[in-house]
Amino acid sequence: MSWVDWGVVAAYLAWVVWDGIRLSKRTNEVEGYFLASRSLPWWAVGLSVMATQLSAITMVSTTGQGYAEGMKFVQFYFGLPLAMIILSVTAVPFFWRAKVYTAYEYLEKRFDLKTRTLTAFLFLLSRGLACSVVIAAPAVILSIVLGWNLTLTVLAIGAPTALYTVIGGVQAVTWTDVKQMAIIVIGILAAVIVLVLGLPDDVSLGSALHVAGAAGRTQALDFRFDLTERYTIWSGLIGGLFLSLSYFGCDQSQVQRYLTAKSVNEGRQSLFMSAFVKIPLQALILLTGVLMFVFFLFNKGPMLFNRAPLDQVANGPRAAEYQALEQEYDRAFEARRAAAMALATSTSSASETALAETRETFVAADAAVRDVRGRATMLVRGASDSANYADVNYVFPNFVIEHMPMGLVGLIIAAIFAAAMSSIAAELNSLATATVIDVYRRHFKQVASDAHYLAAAKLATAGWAIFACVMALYAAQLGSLIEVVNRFGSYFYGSILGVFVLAIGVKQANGHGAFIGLIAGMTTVWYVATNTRIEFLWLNVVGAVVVTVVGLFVSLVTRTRPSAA
Amino acid sequence: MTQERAAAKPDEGEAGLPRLFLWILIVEAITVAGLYWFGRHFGIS
Repeated sequence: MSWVDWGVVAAYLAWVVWDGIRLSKRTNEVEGYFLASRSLPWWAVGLSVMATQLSAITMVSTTGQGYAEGMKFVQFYFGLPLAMIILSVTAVPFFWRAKVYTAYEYLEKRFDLKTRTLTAFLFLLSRGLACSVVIAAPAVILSIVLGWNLTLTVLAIGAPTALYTVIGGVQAVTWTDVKQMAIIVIGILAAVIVLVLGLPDDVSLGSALHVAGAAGRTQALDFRFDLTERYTIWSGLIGGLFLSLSYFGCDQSQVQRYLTAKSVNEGRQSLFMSAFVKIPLQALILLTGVLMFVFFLFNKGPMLFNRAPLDQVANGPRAAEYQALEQEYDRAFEARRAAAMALATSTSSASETALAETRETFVAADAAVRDVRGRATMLVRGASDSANYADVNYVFPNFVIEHMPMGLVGLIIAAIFAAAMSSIAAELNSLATATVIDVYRRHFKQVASDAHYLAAAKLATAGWAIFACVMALYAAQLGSLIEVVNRFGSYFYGSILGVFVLAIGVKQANGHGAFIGLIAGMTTVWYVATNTRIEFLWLNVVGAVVVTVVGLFVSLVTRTRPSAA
Repeated sequence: MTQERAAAKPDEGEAGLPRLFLWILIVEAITVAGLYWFGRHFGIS
């Protein structure tokens, strides 16, 4: 990285902390610190909702998925707009008018203390660990690609975020989210422009996409109804609907966003922004990955993008084997480049048979490159300490460092920082809110001054930041990281959604039913996840349905009958 | 006023919700159709 790029990243980090603190007002009151005194406009809250969901994992891992597997991951988001419609008439008005600080606080008003405490505990556990993954994912990748120290990279992401979140509370989080979202979108668009300009002169964008299509990268929709297939239109619509309902309706890191809105209506509008924009934005991010695939057809990239364990392999007993693979890769790449060029420049006037032959030649050449890369990956796994060695998350950072012009490298690295920090800040803020409101104030100190709770909130924010940074250092590389976070969430999300369905939608439900239903739901999800091949998105449906059915049954059995007298 | 009653109270923004819901569904349908076309068009060269 040049000094200009370093300057851009440093300027971004300094500016985001200064700006976050500058725009925070009335943070000496608990309601101002946690809920911005319910004063924020819908567009700021809406951008904050999107920035919270879009982490650095999305930027790094989703582009990698687009590169490796094409557009099909976009189906994951098909249930989101439908969830926003449902939440705008259920969760938003209920939580906002109940004047609660956390979603779990509402559960005590509706059910009882044990249900509130258990759901708050599950949130703190899952979100606390997820926060460490959100820090670890970009830190591990940036430290390898840029040659930075991992601990310093974790601190470079975590410390400035903790600083403005501790001082400015939810207002600092929201106003920095707005600007970070702008940096992220500008960064992605800059990458798309550089990728398109990087195509050979005689290859148009349309021809390049036809080549990507021949390799199966442009196929976005899968209509098969197969519970063992990860991304289909049905798992996206149904499983994605349940996941989105749970994430945006029951997860404090999102609920707290729309509780800061000026009114119920502005809270709704903030969710509608995601309903309109989320799928096109995710499609753009995946398309960036597809364009990277095309870019690396014509511009030679390394055999493996994750260079971390390669020194160990090069100096080990299997070094000669690896070198032979590299030579094989060079030949396979040249053959694929020629085949891709032939396919991209084949005119529409060519006969169907000739076109089909050109396409088949390219598909075979692409399979040969994948085969060499696959064998190289297996070799690295066997010949180094990296048993979980994965490559997909390193494609985008490698492209940025090696192929983006000076200045734009800094902008994209700043955008990756922005994506990480916007999610981490919202998560730290919501973790602190649940810790203070649902645990400390409810269980330990029910009466105290605003200043006391404010001090506790700042201490809790700092404490969660330290926890997340320490856990991030231990987080292992586990394949595609965005799936790890989503899969982990799916173990709890559906069941917690079931509790809120009982609370808001089932009049007969009581505390015993909700509590036992929640335990039954989580047990069932755990059993299904460990004993069947059903994909993780469907676990949200399983959890929500089991909790609702069991919860209703137990509520009816345990309801207090009016005395005969 | 109880919280349940407060939650049930309508607000001025609710009148326009059905039209917004329809727009969300239309935009999603167009986006999904666009993705389907993208896959079909570029998938067959």
